[in-house]
Amino acid sequence: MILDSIRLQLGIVSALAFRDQGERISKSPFGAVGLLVEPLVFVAVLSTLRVLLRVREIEFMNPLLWMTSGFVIFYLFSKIAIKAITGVARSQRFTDLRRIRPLDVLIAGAVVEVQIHGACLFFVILAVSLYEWQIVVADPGSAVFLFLLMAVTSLGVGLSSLIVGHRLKIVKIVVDVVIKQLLFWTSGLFFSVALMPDYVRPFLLWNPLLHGIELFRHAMQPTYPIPGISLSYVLIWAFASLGFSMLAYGNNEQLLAADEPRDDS
Amino acid sequence: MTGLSALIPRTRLRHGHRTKPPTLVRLDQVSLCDPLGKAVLHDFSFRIRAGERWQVAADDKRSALALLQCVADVQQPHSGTATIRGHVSWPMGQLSGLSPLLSSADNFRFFAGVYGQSGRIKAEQKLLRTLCNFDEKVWIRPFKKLPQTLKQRFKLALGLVFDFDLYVFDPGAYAPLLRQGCWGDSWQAILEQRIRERAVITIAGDRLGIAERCQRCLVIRDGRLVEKGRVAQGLTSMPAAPRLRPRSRRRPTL
Repeated sequence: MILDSIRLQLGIVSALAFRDQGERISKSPFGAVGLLVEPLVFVAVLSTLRVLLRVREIEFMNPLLWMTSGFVIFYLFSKIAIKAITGVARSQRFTDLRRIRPLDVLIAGAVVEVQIHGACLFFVILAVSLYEWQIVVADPGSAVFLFLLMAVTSLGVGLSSLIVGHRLKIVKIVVDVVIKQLLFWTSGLFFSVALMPDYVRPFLLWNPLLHGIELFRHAMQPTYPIPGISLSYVLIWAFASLGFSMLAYGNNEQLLAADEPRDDS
Repeated sequence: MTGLSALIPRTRLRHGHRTKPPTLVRLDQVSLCDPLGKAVLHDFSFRIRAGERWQVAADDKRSALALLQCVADVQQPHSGTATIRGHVSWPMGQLSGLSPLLSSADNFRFFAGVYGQSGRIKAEQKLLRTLCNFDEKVWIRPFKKLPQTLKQRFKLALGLVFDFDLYVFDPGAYAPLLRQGCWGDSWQAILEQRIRERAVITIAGDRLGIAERCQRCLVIRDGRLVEKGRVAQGLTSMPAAPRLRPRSRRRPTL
């Protein structure tokens, strides 16, 4: 019975992910390749800017790999979380299909983002490995684990914001701004935490995304320094956000499926 | 015809050998308003057990449609509780989950992932393509580029392809298909095979003859349930209550 339910749930999420991916490919002028072009072009532009502006070189690892890992994980987090915040409107399209719940749509969206960003990262790693003629990922297991952990954290954060944001609209707006602006500048996309002065570091280390990105870089290059970075901190964020969101979601599913919050009075 | 029928799995009813069939849908004191705020269902209590066939006769069509949507869990009641335990279909023909960007093949794959039975996907696809009469070119064309007739045919056929415990039929949704003369013998045969031993709810007076096969009837007046019971017992409370005509052996001429 439980196995049947799990199989059904997996089937639904898989079908939704397939549909989401198909729609994106249809919208893109370059088809499936077009999905990878956008993040790869962005990485290329940022890397070119670094070269042109002669920003202090990161000596710990390949600069392209360093830039890509930061960018890909940040955008994975950002896109999943933002999609989770605006997820209810999308799921409204499935009102006729009672088997599909809003949570399924959010998970399917996250799966597609993981696929796109994972493929993007894979191609860059492959290109750098071929260029340097050596395997550039020292600990692939940890790298994959951290990549998925960040996806889970983003889903938890996004879903928590969606549920709390239904009650307090301001939360939704604040989280949206924080994810798009504040995290962009404090997540280590443009700096390494080891190069930051000691008095600045504590202000940056509150950000779980910084921990995730730096740990990911460390998994690729074990000599990459990560002072103050902790895996436990990321795990606590992942389990706390996902746990809270699942708990709150269970009690608020009907509210989330409605067009407008119901007036209980 | 025999070939098509073979595509439908003969699954056993889930209640097995229990004496009383399980309840699939239960509405308790359900009230529902239309977008203008007018009550279309008021304090409505009703249950559908496995294998029961119900037709709904209402003075206002909106009340009947609202009931179907409540039963299919498409619409949440404004008050009261709707408990749905079985595998209930969407209101047949009223399908909004199709993606216009994807092809019919991809849309089917999506629905098969959600409602299909594992191991029967190919048979379900074959049945769908046979019902719709789609060639390879049409099958892989984006859904938005299909003519309206083919879209409607696909929508209705999709509902007949999957196995449900309770089929919800909205006659209004498949009326255009009937007008276009798409409904043939193969459709009727599949429909009858599908609803055999399954619970059904429809609105009285449908042109597919489903209502004629319903033993039970609900009569709704001003959004309230005024009478329910077996048709054979005679429902006299309302002029709109369906007359039980002798079952014709002829297929409906469409």
